[in-house]
Amino acid sequence: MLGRQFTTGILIGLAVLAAACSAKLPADLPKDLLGIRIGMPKAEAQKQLELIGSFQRDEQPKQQVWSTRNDPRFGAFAIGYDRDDRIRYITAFVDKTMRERIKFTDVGDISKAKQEIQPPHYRYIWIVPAADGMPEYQVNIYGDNPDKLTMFSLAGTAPVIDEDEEREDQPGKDVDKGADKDRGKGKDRNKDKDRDKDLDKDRH
Amino acid sequence: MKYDKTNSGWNIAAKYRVILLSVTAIAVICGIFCIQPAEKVEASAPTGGTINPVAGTMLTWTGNAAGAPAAANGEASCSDGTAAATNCDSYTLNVSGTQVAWASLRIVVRYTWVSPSTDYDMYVRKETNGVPGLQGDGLTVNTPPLDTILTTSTTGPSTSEEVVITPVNNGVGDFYVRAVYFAPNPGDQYVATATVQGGSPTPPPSTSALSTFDNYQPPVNLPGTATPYTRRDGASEPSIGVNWNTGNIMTMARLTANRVTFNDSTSPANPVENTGHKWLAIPMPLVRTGLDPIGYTDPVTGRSLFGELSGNFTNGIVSDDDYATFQSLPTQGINPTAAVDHQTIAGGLPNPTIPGRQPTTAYPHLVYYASQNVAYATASTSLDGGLTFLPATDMYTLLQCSGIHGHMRVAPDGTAYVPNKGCGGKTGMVVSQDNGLTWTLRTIPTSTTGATDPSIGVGAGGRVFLSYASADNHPHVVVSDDKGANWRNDFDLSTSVVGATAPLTAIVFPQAIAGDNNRAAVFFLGTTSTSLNNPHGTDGVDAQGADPGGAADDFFGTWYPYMATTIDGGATWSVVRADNDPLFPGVSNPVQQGVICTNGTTCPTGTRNLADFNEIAVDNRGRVVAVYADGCNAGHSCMGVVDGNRLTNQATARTTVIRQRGGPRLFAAFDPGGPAAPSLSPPVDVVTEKYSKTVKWAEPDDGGSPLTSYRIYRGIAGGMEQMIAEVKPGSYVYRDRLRKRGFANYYYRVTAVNAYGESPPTVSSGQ
Repeated sequence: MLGRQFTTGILIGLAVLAAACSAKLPADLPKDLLGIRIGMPKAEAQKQLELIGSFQRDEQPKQQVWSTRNDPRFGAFAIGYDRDDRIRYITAFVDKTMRERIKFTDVGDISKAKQEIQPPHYRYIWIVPAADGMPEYQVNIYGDNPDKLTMFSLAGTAPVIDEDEEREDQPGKDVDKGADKDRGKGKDRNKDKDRDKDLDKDRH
Repeated sequence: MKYDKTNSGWNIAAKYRVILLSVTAIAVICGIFCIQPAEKVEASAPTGGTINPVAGTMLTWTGNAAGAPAAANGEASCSDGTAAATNCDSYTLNVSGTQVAWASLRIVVRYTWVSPSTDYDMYVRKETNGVPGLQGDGLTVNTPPLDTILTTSTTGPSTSEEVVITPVNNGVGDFYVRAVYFAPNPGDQYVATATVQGGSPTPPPSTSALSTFDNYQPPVNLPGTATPYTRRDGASEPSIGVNWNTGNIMTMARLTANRVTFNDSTSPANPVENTGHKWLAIPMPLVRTGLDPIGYTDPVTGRSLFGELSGNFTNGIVSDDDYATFQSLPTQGINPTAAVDHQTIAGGLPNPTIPGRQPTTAYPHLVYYASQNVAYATASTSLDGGLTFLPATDMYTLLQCSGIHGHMRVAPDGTAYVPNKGCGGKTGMVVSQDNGLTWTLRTIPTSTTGATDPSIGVGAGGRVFLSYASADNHPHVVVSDDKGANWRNDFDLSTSVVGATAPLTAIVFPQAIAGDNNRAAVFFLGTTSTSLNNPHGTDGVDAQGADPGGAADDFFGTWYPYMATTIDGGATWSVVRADNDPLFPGVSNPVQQGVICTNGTTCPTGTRNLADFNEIAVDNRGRVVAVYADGCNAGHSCMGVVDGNRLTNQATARTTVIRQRGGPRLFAAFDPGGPAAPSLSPPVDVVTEKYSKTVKWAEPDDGGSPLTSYRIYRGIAGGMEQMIAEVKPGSYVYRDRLRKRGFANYYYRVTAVNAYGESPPTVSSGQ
């Protein structure tokens, strides 16, 4: 048990260093967050997730919310898988009561990031090209103040193919075209028979 | 050797033999009863109880397991190998009585504990496999198939979990309430209660005239041709809007954009295609198939904006002339958030007090775009009518609400609302009063989390009407007069359907719209089925496919469109089934047979044809209009389509517009008045047969007084018809038997009569 905790601590520490000590160039931006990297297979990710956090709930589509264990910076995080069950994104949320707060400048050179600033919203986004077997991904940090982030996200940039929205039928598929051709043209004979019965009853 | 009765007892040999036999018997008995595989050792204290259909009845129990190691990966990580290692427990909740006895009752099951650092999750399974006792994940003794999971509650750091069981829907008998020791503390065991509660109140019925509705679909072929009208199918999760300047109705769904115009010279508009409703047939310049379609028409400016979302890319389209021409926006021009899921577009007047977030062009309204990104949801504001957008602002994160939100609405004072089905176990919404700069989460205390997106209608004075499906799948509507700070009249509409013989047991896709401040309408798809299985297919079991003979896990309900209306600010409501097809008046017109699955990737084939939502709007005369995808189209005979040994749906998704025919409008200024004689006569269709002519008509607005008859007129010229028959209401066909062949052309018209008189003779049909 002690050894597992020690290992967990080491891994968390490494993750903290990886995030906090990231250099200023896109190539040196974080390659993982809390030990989770984009494209990581689900089985591998689950092992790491159980080391660093506690599962909270599932979310559609293919997302999970976790709380962290003993992390000095993040209180919770969410992950999403792609259709191949590889990590599509990881987003960590800062618990403002945590003792360590991360500055935007700790993550990367914000002058080289895409900036979306609408006070009190501050967001910086870097695109990290594919390299070393990792797909292209974005580093996306957000805060509700000018200095310190409240949300830290790594996300793949590949288009999401959302199985949730896969089409059940195609345009032009007309399962009952024949029946529909009869609509409004008085050729629905069964219904007409029924109506004729009423007609006979109702006729004055 | 034999038993020797003469020896005043047992002889030695016999004694040994009896002892041997006894030992053998004991061993056999132990073999049967004692040396079975390990028994299930997880159990609460006590292990179960029976609950009766009496409001206020309560059962209590507690957890008692050591909980080591923690079941940190849900129910699948339960282990009941030994008492010391047990990390889950279960309580058998026996629900007594009949389903009918529970019609207005529900069971709220709740765990509570002390410390937020402790965490227990709740899984509820229903006895379904015929093997007494819980059969669930992680048990050492299981007899597959496992009992079906009914519901779960697995919220994050907190001190409680809660689920709702509705026996009228879920059935009676044994339910297994299973505690999963996620972050257990032996000194902080959970305390559980199961309490019988009355359901939400039912609204008093409205005393106003009932609203009536008709359903219309695009034509089979382009007008005057044999070329198929290609944009009427494949239309799941459709949008609708009305340009109040032209009266045109715009719909959009997955590359399927349609404009329809109604001719109101008859009541209802003539259902014969391209006679009383004309559909535009101009292809849209969309360049790629989308996945999450959305359309929005600003009723005041008339601008339509819509897009197809695929990944973080959206094909943005703008039209200022009701789809006659289109302007394509630059890539991502309409998706400034680069977000990936479930987009929504809305617009309206700005809050004029917010500097820097006012219209910068002649276009007078703000336009909003919102969608979900990686664990958060954002909105962007456009100051130039949707051509460009300000940077996105965060609305909420996955820690606050479920990822997918409903459609945005903008109030006349500029307040923007985005509803969400799951915010801390409640239905809620985020609110912006500064033109989209900041957002505040507000929840409805009396609500629960449902399986389908809620919807918001905002009245002219800012009154909010929020419709949602509760955890028990019932239709609800609730009202706020202070932007969601306080709520009132959270009504359950399931027993409010006028003329219904059974309550609604489940709904999907509630959509709300308001007009005057005290008038609103809610459109939803509903079923009265009492099938025990999940109507949304969210229990993970096969609903349509590969379980030969396994009809027990299929939901067989039939779904219809329903419309609820209020004209007194939500104090009273009327609900009507809105399935009338004026081509086939009085004929059942279902939308779907079987599951309407809301569970995304796990949905069985054939159950996701309607996707995630419908939409509702109000036209320039206060009529309610709505759009949905119809899954039952073969002459409405969806029921009876057989797949193997079960009924199934057709898995179609045909654009269908519902339009209000009669009853109070959402704008009182356009109320039809009355009661009075019907103001319009019905449309007439005449078919010539060998010895007769068949005259057909649709059901018109009754003028606020029940119809008493229809009168049929015939003449040799239009306007010269004489009455030939009078038939009672409910008849829509008259066969004029002419007794000889070669008769001349005749003209026919039909009028509607009520206690106040007869509709004017405005419509003739020659044949």
